[in-house]
Amino acid sequence: MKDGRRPDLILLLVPILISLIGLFFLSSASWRQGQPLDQSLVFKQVFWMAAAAVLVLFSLRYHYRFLLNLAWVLYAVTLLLLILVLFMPARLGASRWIAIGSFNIQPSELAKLSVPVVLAALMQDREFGLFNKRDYWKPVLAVIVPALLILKEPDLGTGLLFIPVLLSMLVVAGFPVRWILSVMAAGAAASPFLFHHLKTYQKLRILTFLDPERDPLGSGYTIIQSKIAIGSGGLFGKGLFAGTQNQLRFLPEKHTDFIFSVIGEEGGFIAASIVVLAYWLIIARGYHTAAECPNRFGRLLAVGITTLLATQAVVNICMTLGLLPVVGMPLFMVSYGGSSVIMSLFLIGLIMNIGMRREPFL
Amino acid sequence: MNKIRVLFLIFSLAFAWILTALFKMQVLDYSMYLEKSERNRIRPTVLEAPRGVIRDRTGRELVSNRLAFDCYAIPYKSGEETALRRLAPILKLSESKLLERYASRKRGALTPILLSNDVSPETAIRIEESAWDLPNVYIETRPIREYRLGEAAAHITGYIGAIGDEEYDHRRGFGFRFTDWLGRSGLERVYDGYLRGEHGVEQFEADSRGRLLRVLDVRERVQGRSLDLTIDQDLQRFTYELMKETPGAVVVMELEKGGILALVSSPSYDPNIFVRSRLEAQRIRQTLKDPLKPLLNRALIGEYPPGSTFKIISALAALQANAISGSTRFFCPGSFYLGGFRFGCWKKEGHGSQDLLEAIEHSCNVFFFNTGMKTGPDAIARMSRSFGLGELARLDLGMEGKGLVPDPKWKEKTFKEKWYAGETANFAIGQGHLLTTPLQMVRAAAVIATGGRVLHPYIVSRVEGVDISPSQVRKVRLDSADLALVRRGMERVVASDAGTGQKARSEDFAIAGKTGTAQAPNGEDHAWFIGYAPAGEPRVAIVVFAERGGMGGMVSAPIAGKIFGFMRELGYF
Repeated sequence: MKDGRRPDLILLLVPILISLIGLFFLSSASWRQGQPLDQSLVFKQVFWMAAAAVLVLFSLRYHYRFLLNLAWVLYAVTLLLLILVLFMPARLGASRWIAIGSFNIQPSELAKLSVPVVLAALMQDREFGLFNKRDYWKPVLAVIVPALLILKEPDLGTGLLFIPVLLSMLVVAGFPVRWILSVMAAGAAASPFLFHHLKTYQKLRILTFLDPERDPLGSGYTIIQSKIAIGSGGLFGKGLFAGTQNQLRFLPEKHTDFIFSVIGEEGGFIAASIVVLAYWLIIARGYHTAAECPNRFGRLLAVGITTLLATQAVVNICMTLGLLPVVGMPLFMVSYGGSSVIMSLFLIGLIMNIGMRREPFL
Repeated sequence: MNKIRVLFLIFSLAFAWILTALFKMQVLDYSMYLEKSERNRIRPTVLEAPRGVIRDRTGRELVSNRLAFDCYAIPYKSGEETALRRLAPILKLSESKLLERYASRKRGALTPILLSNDVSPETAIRIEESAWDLPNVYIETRPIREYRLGEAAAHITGYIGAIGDEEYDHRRGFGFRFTDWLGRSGLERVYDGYLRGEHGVEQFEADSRGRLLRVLDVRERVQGRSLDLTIDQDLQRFTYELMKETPGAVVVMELEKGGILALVSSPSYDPNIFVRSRLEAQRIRQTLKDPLKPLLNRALIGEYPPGSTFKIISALAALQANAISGSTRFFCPGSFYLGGFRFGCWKKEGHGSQDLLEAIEHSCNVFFFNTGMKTGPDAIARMSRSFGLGELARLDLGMEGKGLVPDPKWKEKTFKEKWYAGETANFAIGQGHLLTTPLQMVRAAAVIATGGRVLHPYIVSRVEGVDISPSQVRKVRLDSADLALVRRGMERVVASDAGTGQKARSEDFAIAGKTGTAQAPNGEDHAWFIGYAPAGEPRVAIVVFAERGGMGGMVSAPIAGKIFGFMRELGYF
């Protein structure tokens, strides 16, 4: 890499740390008596992580500008898959996966790459939006279409995820902040109307969030149990495999969305805060890379990706703490799930890539 | 860039907020959450739904649910032994046996251990009274199936069995639990979907000792839907008593709509043993291994040659085809020669010259050999099929035999051989390849009794009050003169002193019927009787079949007579 720099060490090592920690707690959350090792979730997770690592190492050899060339192809493929997935049979009440052989592909994960890339591609011109405010409709539209498709699956969490991504990239691209604030105000004013259009169980989740005790056996159950799990972990935690809430199966979805509750219960405040700080470090390096990047495309892309990852982590953890309503949002690198693991590691690799190429190319 | 810094700041604040919340929950509020997690062992208990009851036509319950009391113990950290020692005499077990059972059945740290199944109510009360001395022992109630008629109605009710692993895997997505029961035979099986109710759930908080603290939520269980049958309980019992030592089957059908009043298959078994499978394991094994196959419903599945009972159908076929008339006479010398083969009549000396009425009365084979040869196998087969032979009767009780109505085309296809003339002769007297089930035969008798209605037999008249009795009836066009002739013949079978069915005779009312003694290879003949009563205005039809029972007139006819007599007492006619 003749014009590049060394990859960011923190971005290299911290994800490995989080992934390893995650594997420990995943094995606790998912063990089943007498299950052969090669069928266990942990084994599969390791496989995905290894595959992701290979993919990342391979992609680092190439300048990230290859994405710029592929941007619209990626976007088109994403839209296609998102439409296709709506026709797939629903699993657990949602059509989120396309099954190919024994693999399940989640198109919404692909959107996490293609949407920021396309947004960055649209807004990379230095004169974007400067003279013609109408330019700003393009990125908004580019986000609305996949977001609506994702919301239709239904996947509320991932669908809404693109709002902060879009807003952060618009701001960095020069969109007037006043406008952002008025949009947010308008959103807040419209929320009762939007609330009405949510599906029943989604409405229930928000109401339960505001008062978990109103339905302790139904939707409030998860939040109550999660808080008990985390709180009763104390400073040092109950020990790996020894969390009573976890082992007694009080926690639903504990190997996916609520894996952090397992960390809190079995690892205590120490483990939980290490994990939180680790994510914070990744976010810090992400924004640092963005700030240091001399060209717009790279900067916008880094901002978008970092905001995406940051939002995911914050929302998931806040969900387990009862600080936000329950939405389907995994904790990347820790929750079980092949698509999520590969995409999030690839995105971090992309930030590394951006950080390694410091020369301006536009 | 400042904007990026601001973004980073916003998220950093979020992370800081998270850390603060974590600190509050895990450090400041730790003891509260710890207590909750200790205390708050929310356990959902399934409230098992009782299955729907099954009632007979008088509204009395045939199959119901009673309460069973099971004794459980929660594994306790210490002091288990003393409690168990105190419990042993109450359960009427030796201390060592109880301790051994406790140790061998222990699963996890929190799984209750079943100590004793289905204890008596008195024992259950004593255990509850001693709650203070037996802190980790408790009684759980569940509904248990009770078959009030036991063996007498086993083939109607069927029985239930615990769900198997594979069956559970297939069904768990539909809300089944691994402790569920499935109907395995009879009505329990056919109507399983209606009979099973919906389990309820009770969520309660239990402390680490498993003590109930407060009920959080209850979803009530829903009992399964009830069935009202056409069966008459008293008639069923009476019929079973008559048949219990005689392998075979009896079916009694009312002629208005085709409802089954009684259905017995012998030998039978007690369905209650399957419900208490742990205690009755040995009896269950014996029942399953019994070479007489008590679980088989002979009334529905057993396919046998009908013998002379079939003659009424071949008579009608002959009359219909104008092959004979009421005045046609044939001479019976005791045997009939065809193509070098000798077909014998059961009366070696022969019956002499007879017309149709006398031939039916005496059940003369030779008369019917002649008749059959003149009618031809196709016409006989056609009439058989319109009487419902060779097809499923579709009773809502379980698997049925289809029987077999042979004809030349069938033989060509199946055996690649031509139909021999002699087979027509055999066919006409209900032997040869012809096979029928007792159910088909009572339906055939009903066709004659009702003047051509091929009734659809049914056992369940209402499901949870909703009428499901069949509404449509197939009709066979029979010449009324022909029909009257055959009916008169059947009346004479019982009324006349020369009739083969005279042992069915009753003093108070007239019965019409036909006996049959069907030859079957490797053993005794099958004894048949089909008939209806009262002969003038038929209300009920019957089939009595004794497997390898001997002569129809000697074995089956008297049983039919007694059953009709009892029905008279019950007021059916």
